[in-house]
Parts: sequence; structure tokens; C-alpha cells
Amino acid sequence: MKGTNILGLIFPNINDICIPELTAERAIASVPFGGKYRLIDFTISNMVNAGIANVGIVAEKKFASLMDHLGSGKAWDLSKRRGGLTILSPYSHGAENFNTTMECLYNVKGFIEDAGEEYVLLTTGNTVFNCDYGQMISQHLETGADITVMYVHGKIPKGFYSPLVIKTDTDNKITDIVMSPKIENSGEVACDYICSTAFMKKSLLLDTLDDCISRNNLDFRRNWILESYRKCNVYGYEFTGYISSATSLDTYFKANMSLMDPKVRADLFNEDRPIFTKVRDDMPSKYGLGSSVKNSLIAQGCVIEGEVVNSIISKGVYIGKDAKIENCIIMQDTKIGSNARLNYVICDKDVVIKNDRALMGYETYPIYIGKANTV
Amino acid sequence: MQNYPKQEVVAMLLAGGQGSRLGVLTNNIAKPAVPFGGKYRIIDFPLSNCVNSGINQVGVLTQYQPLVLNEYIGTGQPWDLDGTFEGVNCLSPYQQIKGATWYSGTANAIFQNINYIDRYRPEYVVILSGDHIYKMDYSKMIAEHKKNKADCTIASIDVPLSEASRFGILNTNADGSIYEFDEKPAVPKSTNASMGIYVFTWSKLRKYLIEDDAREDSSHDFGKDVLPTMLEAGERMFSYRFEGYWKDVGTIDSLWEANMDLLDPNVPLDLSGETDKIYSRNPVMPPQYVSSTAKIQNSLVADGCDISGEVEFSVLFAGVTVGVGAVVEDSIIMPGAVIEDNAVVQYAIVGENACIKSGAVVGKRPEDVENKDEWGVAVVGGNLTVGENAVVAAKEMIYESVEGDSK
Repeated sequence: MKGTNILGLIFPNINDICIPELTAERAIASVPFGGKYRLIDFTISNMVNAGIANVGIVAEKKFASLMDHLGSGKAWDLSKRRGGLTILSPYSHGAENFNTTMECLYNVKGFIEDAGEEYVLLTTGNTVFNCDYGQMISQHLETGADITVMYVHGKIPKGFYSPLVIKTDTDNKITDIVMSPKIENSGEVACDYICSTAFMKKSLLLDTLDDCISRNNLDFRRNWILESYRKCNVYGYEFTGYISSATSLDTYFKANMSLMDPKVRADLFNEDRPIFTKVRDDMPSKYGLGSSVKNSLIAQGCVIEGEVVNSIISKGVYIGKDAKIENCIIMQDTKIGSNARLNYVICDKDVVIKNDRALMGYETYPIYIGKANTV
Repeated sequence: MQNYPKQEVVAMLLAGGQGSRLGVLTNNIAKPAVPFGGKYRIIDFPLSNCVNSGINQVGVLTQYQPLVLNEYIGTGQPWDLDGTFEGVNCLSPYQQIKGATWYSGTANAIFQNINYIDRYRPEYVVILSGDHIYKMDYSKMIAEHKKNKADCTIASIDVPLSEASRFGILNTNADGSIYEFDEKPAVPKSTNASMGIYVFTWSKLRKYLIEDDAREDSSHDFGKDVLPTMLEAGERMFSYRFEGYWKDVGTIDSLWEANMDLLDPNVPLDLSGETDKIYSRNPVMPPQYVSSTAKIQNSLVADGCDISGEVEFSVLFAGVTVGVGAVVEDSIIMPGAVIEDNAVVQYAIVGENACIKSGAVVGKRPEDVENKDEWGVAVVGGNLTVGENAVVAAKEMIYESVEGDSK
């Protein structure tokens, strides 16, 4: 199927609750990741790489940062005459409540109805993966499914919000869905859990939406997905590539650090399916005399005079002489003074760490310094 | 007819030259498209200068190998030159009723595009070259041009006396008006060298271009024909002194030096200024990865690089790989090139997507060469392979892959 027959819908605020620190002033989808990306870049790029040319962002709240990042959609080739990128803001169509995903969807019903596409791909905005949606869609058509949801086999990550654990028969037809089952939710045993994406005909989405709203069934997961397999053919599509969902500060930190693994980078930054993002016109990064960088990912526009080990350094960061940054995520335009010592610290954007300061977190509990703070 | 909004200034960027002195680097691309400074191409400098000076209509005159250049400029979006009624246009020679001719000289290139300039009814036309690295606010030069009620203003820079005979020298009166052009003089009278940047009052230039085209003895060149004719006719011609960094990167040595200048904190060329930054097309690549075995000193490194070796005093473009034990010193490694494990690259320019196989040696440090006349920057052309343990000598420029000793 051509991607142009699919409408993409992204919910950037689902899972905001998972990382309150990073989402204080932004949707989780616009949380910085990997030195130059925002989490939503992966989902949008996956859609674009599958040929999807009409993408709606169902914004609920705190979306100024997201709008700034997405702009016209040009960076994803989504600045188009037909379709392209549309940020669907709340309170724009007369609906009054936006407490649930279902209500948000209902608010943008007009946009979905007007879209010429026959199918719809619904996703969250906080998953880091490089997925060939074409495969999932092929499976959907081959199985004759009404709905296909993506699932992952493995231990449920810490902080994963109300996971839906599924059971499937041999050809991936879902036979049972359970929300947050006690044993699997402990994160200690492997299971199949739904992640990120659902695919279906637009008409099915609209009919279900009307039905749910008129019965006041407002919980997308409980009132629809959880029940769906009883009413229609729901199939699972197993995603087997690298995937991480930013579900807690801890998993977010580990997901960033996993980029040091060449296998993860090769999978995620697949040359055939590039990950696009908004770029600034930064200079290449400058390594000073006496600087030392080991096992780290460095974005452009940085000036590094000090020492960096096992860290992610985002665009425009300055690291002063004799500073030592270890196991850190330093977000864009942060300035680290000379002789400062940081270990297991996440610095948000525009932070200033003055000379000689020392901060130390722990692997399972990184210290977070909020946006534009000075230490 | 579409009526284009009037533009006070139109810039015309001469980008058609072959740049033959850059040898293999301009085999398949025009000189202005040669990569520079880790993520730019040379043409980013004049284009960004135009936009930062408030000039929003730019014609780029292309002729030699225009594919990469045309593709790179595209709609002009990276420079905000993609407006509805204004922006950048690539202007190639074209067939006309009276026949088809190539651009036979710099002045002829502008002559053939008089209709393009006329559409915008400009007061002034700025003529720029596509092979200079510098940041300049052209609006200041245009203001001087207006103040002097000049017909032509030529930007100039003070050069060392020892180098003055390589340049066109402008000899001026106390008020800055030019009384003599001295093209590459053996004995220069001054060190006021032309930068090849001209502001013309369009009505005057238009007249002289038409007259010049009719002259059979003319080579249709600004420096050799149009400017001397204008001076002889007594037009008001002024020199505008530019203070700042400027470098013609027409040769391998000057291209190498200009790249190295970016690593020198004492060189006044900051490409990242808020109001006068240099814009470019950005690669779609992840941040650079620096491994545990890497050692990087005083270097510029762009997105997508994967560094495991030693890099010193070098400029690495996007997507460059430097393997374990490899050494890259005082070199320029262009986009996508691969320096395999234990290869050594010193004082060299490695072209786009070239591959230096493991154990190969490219270039030499000057102190390791006995006869200094035999030393120079080594150049490996784009997409070439230097085989395992093969050697590319200092100053050598290779146009074809070099076989290695692998079985």
C-alpha cells in the first residue's frame, strides 16, 4: 500500500506523566534525545520513510516547544501543498474537555474526516526506534486484520504507563489483552506488550470514536483497545529492532547511553531510513588543545576544552578547561565552567555550571538540573 | 507580464569557473561547490553574506560542472533565499534567437543576463566571486558607494608587499578614488589589492557591458576590459577598504591554509555569529561518536563522524570514519571519507567518499622531507581508494585509485 493512503496521527502528550522532570515545560514528544534530536523525530521520520505525507499532531498541552521544533514540517519534508504537517491544537473545534486521548481525538474529528486517506496510523511520540512501517502494514493487509497493534517481546521497562500485555495465537491474532498484570508489570519477566503504534481503517476509527463518546467511554486504552479484540480482528505486529521508550528518568538516561553501542547506532540511524530533525546552523564542533573525549556522542556547535567520558553532549555546549564530565547528558547550549566535575548528571537546556562546581548522581538515580538553571 | 518587486540591489555571483588550480578536487564539481570548513561549501560564504547584508535577490552564474552546485543551491531555502518574489536563481548560458554562446568572460556572463537584472529595476549591482572565504557586510560598501556618488566601487584589502604582485593593485588618490589599475605588477606601487568584489551603479554598468560586447578586441572580462575602459572614460571609481579576514581559496595551498585558519584562535573568522552566521545545507546524520581509543586535539569535527583514531589539527567533514590506530594530522577530510585502521594521513586533503585503506600513508610532515621543494599538501580525489599499505607522497595529487599490497 502506498503511504499516501495513510494518515499519521501522533499524540505528543501521552506519557508526559512518565518523566515529570523533563516534561515540566514541554510535551514528552519534544524532550531532547541523543544530542540533536527530540523524541518525536523518530516517530515522524518513521512515518515519512514509509511514504506517509499527511501527519497530524494531536496536541493537548505544553506544546510551545513542540511547535518551535516542528515549524512548518520542512525538516521532515512535510511542508506540502497537499497534506504535510498539521499541529492540531486543543480548543479549536468547540469541544470542551481534553482530559483523555479519546476526547482529544474527538476534538480533531473534523481533521480526520476531511483527510483523503483511507487508513490511519496512530502513535505515541516518546518511542525511540527506526521502524519500517511498510512491514507492519503488509502484515495488516495479509491477515485481513481490522486493527494491527505493534508489540514488543521483553521485560516491561520501568515506569511504562499502564502496559497492555497481550496473548496471541500462532498467526499473531490477539486472543487476550490485560492491563498492568501484576507479574509482568514487575519488569522481571518477559512478555508481549503493546507499544507505540496502531493501524486501522479510518472509518473504523471514526465509528469507534463516535460510539465511545456517545457512551461516555473516554479511556482510549480501557474502553477501546482492551475490549477491541472481542469485537473485531485485532492482530499484533512484533517489532524486533532496537526500541526504547522514555518511560522514566532512569530509562531515558539508559536509552541515551545505549547510543554508545555501535549496533544500536547502526539500527537506529539506518542510512536507508534516515532520522530527520530540525537543524541549526551550528559550526562543526571544536576540540581544544588538552581536551579529551572518550566513548561519547557529540553534536555540532560544541567547544570542548575539558574531559568528557561516556556522555551525550548536545549542540552548542561549552565545556571548560580541566572540567570532567562523566556519564552525563548535557543538553543544548549549556555552559560548563572550568574545573567543574559532573558524574551521572542530566543538564537540561541553557544550564550554567560555574567553575569548580561538583555534582554527582548515581547510575540508577541521575541528578537532573532544570532548564536555564545556574549552579 | 509578471511585475517583479523593485530591488535596490541585485547580487550576481560568478560561479562558473573551473578552478583548474584545485586539480582533482574540481574534476566533477565547480569551485564554489568545493567543501570547506567541516560542513560548508565555498559558496555558502558569499550567499550568507548577501542575506546578512539585506540583499535578497541573487543570480548565480553557473557554467562549469553545475550539477552539484545547482542541487546544493536548490530553492535557496537554507539561506532564506526562497521567497515568492525574490531569492536565488541559477543562471546558466542558454540558447538565444541569435545563437548560443558560452559565457566567454566574467563581463560577458553578466551581459548575457541583462534581462534578468532589468526585471528588478535595481539601482546597484554587486558582483561577487564564488571562491573567497570571508564575512562581509556589503551594505556598508554600498553606503560608501552612494556617499561617493560613485559609478563603481571595488573592495580592497591590504596585502603584504611581498605578495602584492599576485594581485590586481588599486592605486588611489587621498579620497579613495582610483587613478590606476595595476594588474599583477612586478613592482607594486601600493599594497591595496582588489578582492574581486564590485558595486556598480546599474545604469552605468549596463551601458558599458553593451559597449564591451560590441568590441571584438575585448576578452569580456571585468578586470581586463570593463574596469579599465570605465576608468579611461573618467567614471567615478572608488576603492572600499575592507578590514577583516579574507582569503582566495583558488589553490590547494590556500584552500588548506584557510581551513587551518578556522583552528587558529587568533584568526578573526567566527562562522557562528548570531546576526552574521554562515548558513549551509546540513547533513541528515547523527551526532559524531568518539570512541574510547580516540584522541582529538585542536580539530573541527562535523555530524556523523565516527572517530577511533588520533586526530590533530584537522578538519573532519560530515560522516568521516577514522579507524583504530589511524593518525590524521594537519589534514582536511571531506564528507564520507574513510580512514581505515592504522592508516596515516598527514598534511593532506582527502576528497569526498575517498577510502584510505588500512596501513596506507598519505602525505608527509614537512620536517620529514629532506628537500623542502618536494614537500606540499597531498591530495586524494573524491571516491578514490588508496589501497592497503600504499603510499601517496607529499605534494602528490592522485586522480586514480592506488593499488595496495593486499592479496
